[in-house]
Amino acid sequence: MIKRIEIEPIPLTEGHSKLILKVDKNIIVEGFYYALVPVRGFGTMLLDKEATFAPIAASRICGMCQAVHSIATAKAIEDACNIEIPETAQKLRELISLSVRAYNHLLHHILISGNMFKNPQKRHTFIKNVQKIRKTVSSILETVGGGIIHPSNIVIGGISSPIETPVKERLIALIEEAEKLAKEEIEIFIHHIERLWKEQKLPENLGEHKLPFITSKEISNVSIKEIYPQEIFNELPLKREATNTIILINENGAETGVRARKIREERYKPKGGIKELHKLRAEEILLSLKNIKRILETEKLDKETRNKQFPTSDNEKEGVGIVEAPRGVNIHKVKVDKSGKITYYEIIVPTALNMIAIAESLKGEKVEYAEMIVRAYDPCIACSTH
Amino acid sequence: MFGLYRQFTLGRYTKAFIIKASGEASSKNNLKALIKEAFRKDLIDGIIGTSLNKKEGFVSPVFIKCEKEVEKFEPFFFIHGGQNSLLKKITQKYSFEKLGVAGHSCVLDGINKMQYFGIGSNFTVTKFTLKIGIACIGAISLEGIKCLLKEKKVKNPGFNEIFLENNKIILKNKYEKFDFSAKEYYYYLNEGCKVCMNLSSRGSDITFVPSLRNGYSLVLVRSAKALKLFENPGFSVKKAEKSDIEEFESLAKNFLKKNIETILERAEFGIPSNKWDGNRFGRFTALWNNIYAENIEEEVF
Amino acid sequence: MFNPLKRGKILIYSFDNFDKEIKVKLGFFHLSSCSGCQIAFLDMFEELPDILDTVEIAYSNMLTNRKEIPKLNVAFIEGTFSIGFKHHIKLIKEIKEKADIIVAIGGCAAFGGIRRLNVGAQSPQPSHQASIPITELDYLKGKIKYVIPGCPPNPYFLYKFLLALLELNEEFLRPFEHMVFSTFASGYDILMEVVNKGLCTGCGTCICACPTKALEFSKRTQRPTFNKLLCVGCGSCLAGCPQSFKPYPQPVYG
Repeated sequence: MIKRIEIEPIPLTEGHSKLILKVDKNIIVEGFYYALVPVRGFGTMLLDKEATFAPIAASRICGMCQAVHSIATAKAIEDACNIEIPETAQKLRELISLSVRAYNHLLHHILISGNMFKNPQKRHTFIKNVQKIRKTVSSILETVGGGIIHPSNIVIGGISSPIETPVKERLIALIEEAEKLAKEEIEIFIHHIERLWKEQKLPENLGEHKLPFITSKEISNVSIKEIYPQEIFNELPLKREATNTIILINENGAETGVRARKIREERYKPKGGIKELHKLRAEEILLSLKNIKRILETEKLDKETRNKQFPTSDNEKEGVGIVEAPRGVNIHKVKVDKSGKITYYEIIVPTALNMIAIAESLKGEKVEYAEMIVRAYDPCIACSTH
Repeated sequence: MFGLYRQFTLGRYTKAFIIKASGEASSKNNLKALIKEAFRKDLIDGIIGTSLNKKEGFVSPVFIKCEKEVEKFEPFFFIHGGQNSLLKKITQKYSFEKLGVAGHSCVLDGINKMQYFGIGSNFTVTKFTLKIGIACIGAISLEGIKCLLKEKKVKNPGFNEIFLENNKIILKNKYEKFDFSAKEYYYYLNEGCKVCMNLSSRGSDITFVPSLRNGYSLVLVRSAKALKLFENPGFSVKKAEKSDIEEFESLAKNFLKKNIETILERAEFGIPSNKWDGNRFGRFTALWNNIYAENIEEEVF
Repeated sequence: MFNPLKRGKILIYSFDNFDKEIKVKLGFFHLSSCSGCQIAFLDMFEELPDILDTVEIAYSNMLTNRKEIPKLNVAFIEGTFSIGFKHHIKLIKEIKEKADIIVAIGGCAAFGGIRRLNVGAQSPQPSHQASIPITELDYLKGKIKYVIPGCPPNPYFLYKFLLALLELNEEFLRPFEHMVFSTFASGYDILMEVVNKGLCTGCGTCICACPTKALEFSKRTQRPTFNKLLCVGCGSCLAGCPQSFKPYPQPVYG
C-alpha cells in the first residue's frame, strides 16, 4: 500500500523546505522537494526601477551565492544595453565568482557536518578547521568585491575599483595559505564521508539518477521551460504551498552544478549517486582556489575596470546574463528602456533546475535517506524563491 | 555648580610636550614631524589625514602609506574632509596591520564608535594602533574662510595654513598673516561644531594642538604607547610650560562656553544637540550638575 | 570566559528551564530573507569557537539537525514577516512561546530593508506581496528586545553584540533597545537627523557604514550625499554616525 509521508523542515539545509514522499514498503516511489519560504518577489520588484539598482537588489536574493546574482544581473543589463566592459573587470568578476564558489562549498561542509558527526565536540573541531579557510577565501571576496555577504563593488559596466599590484601580492599570499589549508580540509572531509558511508552501510550509488547534465556553456542551445507547481500537483494545499518554480531543460529534468561542470570541463565519466557529488564538491574547492591563483598571477588587474556608460536600451533587446554559480547555471534576463528603466526581468536559479534531479534521486531509495539526498544537492531555497 | 575644569576641557593626559620640527616653523610641519616619527618608530604602517588640495580648492581625505608620502601631505586643520569615508576601502582592500589616524574629535568619535559597536566595518577596524587627535575649536567651511578674509578686506583670499597663536586663529598665505578672534571665528563655525563638548579630542592616544608659539606646538600625551614618540625623536621636544597649556585651555574654554550657550538655546526650542542619546537633555542636566563627580577619562581602544 | 549570571544585574533571560547547563541557548530563524544574517554569524571565523563556549546554538535550520524548536533564551529572527503566510504565523507563535527574548537581526527584520519594495505578483505564488518587519507586529511587542541594523550586520558587530548580550552590557545594548521602536530606516535618516539638524561635522563615518554606496561624500560641500535609488533601508548609516548615539565609554556625557 502506498503511504504518503511529509518531512518538514529539512534540517541542515538553507531555508525552509519540505519533502513529500509516496512510499511503498519503506521505499520511495515518488518524491517532491519544494520550498516553503514565501516568494520574495525580486523579479517584480525590479520592474520599472532604474537599472543601476539591479546589482544591489539582486545581491540580496541570496546571502550565500550573493555575488553571482549581482554579476548575472550586471551582465544581463550590459548585454541589453550594449555596454562593453573592460577586460580587467571581466577577470575580476571571474575571480569573485570563483571565490564565491569555494566559499559556498565550504559553507556546505559546515552544514553537512551535522550529518557526519554524532559527537558535537568532533563537529566543533571540524568546523573550526573549515572556518580557517573560509576566512582567507572571504578576505579575497572582501578585497575584490567590497564585502563578503553583499559585495558592493559589482556595478553595471564592470567593477568599481581595480586591484593594485601590492594588494594582488597580498592576495596571492592569502590564496597560497588557503590552498594549503584546503588540501588538508578536503582530505578530512572525504575521509569522513567514506567513514559515514561505511558506518551506516549506505549504498555506493545512493541517489542515482539518469538525467542529463547541463552547465552554463550549453544552456544557450537548449529549450528552457518554467513550470509552476500548480501544473504538477493536483491536490491542495500542495499546489498553493510550493513557492518555487521548476525549470525543464529540453522538456526534461537536468542536473546542474559541480558534477555537470566536471563532466563538461574534464570529460569526467560520472558514477552517479550523491557520494560522488560530495567528493566532487570538495575537490572543486581546491580547483577554484587554483584558478583564482592563476588569474592573480597571470593577469594585470590594476587597469581601468569600469565603463561608466549609462545603461539605456530600446526596450526590445533581451539581455541575458549567464553565470556559473556554485550550484549551477544562474540566468538573469532583462529588458531596459530608453530612460534606463527595467521593463522585463526574469531569474532562473540553479536550485530550480535541480529540483527534478532531486526528485529523481529520491526514487527507489529508502525513506530514511531522503533528507540526506536532498542535502547532497546543497539546495538554496533563498535563491529558488527569489 | 558646573565648572570647566581642566579635566573636562583638555581631558586626562599623562604628559604635555611642546614640539618643533626642523625647517620652517609651522604647526603643520610639526604634525608632519610627529607622523614621520610614528612611521620611523614602526608604530604605524599607514595613516589617514586631511589634506588641502590647492589646485581644486577643497580639502580631501588622504591615505598615507609610507614615510615618503608624508612629504606631500598638506595637513589642514578644522576641516575634516570626510576622513572616515576612506576607512572601508583601507580596511577591506589594503588590510594594513597598524593603522594610524590624524583627525579631529569627531573623526575619532566615528572610529571609536566603530570599534566599540562594530557597525559598518569589519574586524579590520580593530587594526587602529595610533590615534593622533587634533585639538579643534570647530570646523569651518572653505567659503567661511573666504568670508572671514573678505571681512578683513583681503582682495585675493588665498591661504594655505590655519593655526592658533596667542589665543587667535591665524590664516596664512605665502606672504601675509591674518588673525581672527574667537568671536569673529565662531560666527562662521559649522552648526554641528557649535554643540561640541570635546574640543581636545579626548578619545585619542595623543592630542596635537595646532598652535604655534616660538615655532613650538603643544601635544598632550594620553597613552603609554604615544610616549614612545618622544624617545629620541627627530624633532626638538621640550616639556610644556604651564603657560603653554593655559593658553590653549583658555581658548578652548572660550569656545566651550559659547557651545554651552548654543546647546541651551537649542534645548529651549527642543532642537536636538548631539552626543546625548535617548533622553538627550536629561543627560545634559546630569552633566551640568555632576561634572566634578565624574571620572572623565576616555577610553582608548 | 563570560559569566552570563553576572551579579547585581537583572537577567533578561531565565534559566529556570535548564538544569545544570548555563549555556545561553540561541536560536536562529528566518522568515522571508536571504539567510545572509545567519551567514554573517558564521563569518565571525575565529571568534565563533570562543563564543560557542558560552552559548549553544540550540536551533538553526542550517546548523542543527533538529526539527522541533526547543526552549530558547534568545531567538534571532532575520527577514520580514509575510502577511497571510501560514508558516510564518505558525513559526512566530511558536517562537513567542519558546523564546525568552527575540532579537530582530538585520535590516529586513528590523526596518523592512529591501523587502519594503516587494510588490508580489510573481510566479508561482503571486499573493505573497506584503512583507513587513517583525518590529511592526504588535503581537511581538515587548518580546522583541533588541534590533540589529545592517544589511548584513557585519560579523564584528554581531560578535560585539553577542558579548554584550552575555555580559548584559546595558550601555552597549541600550541604543539597540531604542531601535525596536523605529520600524523604518533609510539614508534619509542621516539627512534628517544629522545633516538637517545641523549636527553633521563631515567625518564620513556614514559613508563607510553604507553597504550599497548609496551615501557618498561630497568634497565640495563636506557633507554626505544620498542616492535614494541605491538605498536598501538597513539602518546602518544613522546607527554608525557618531552624532546619533554615543554611549560608548565617555562618562563625561552621563
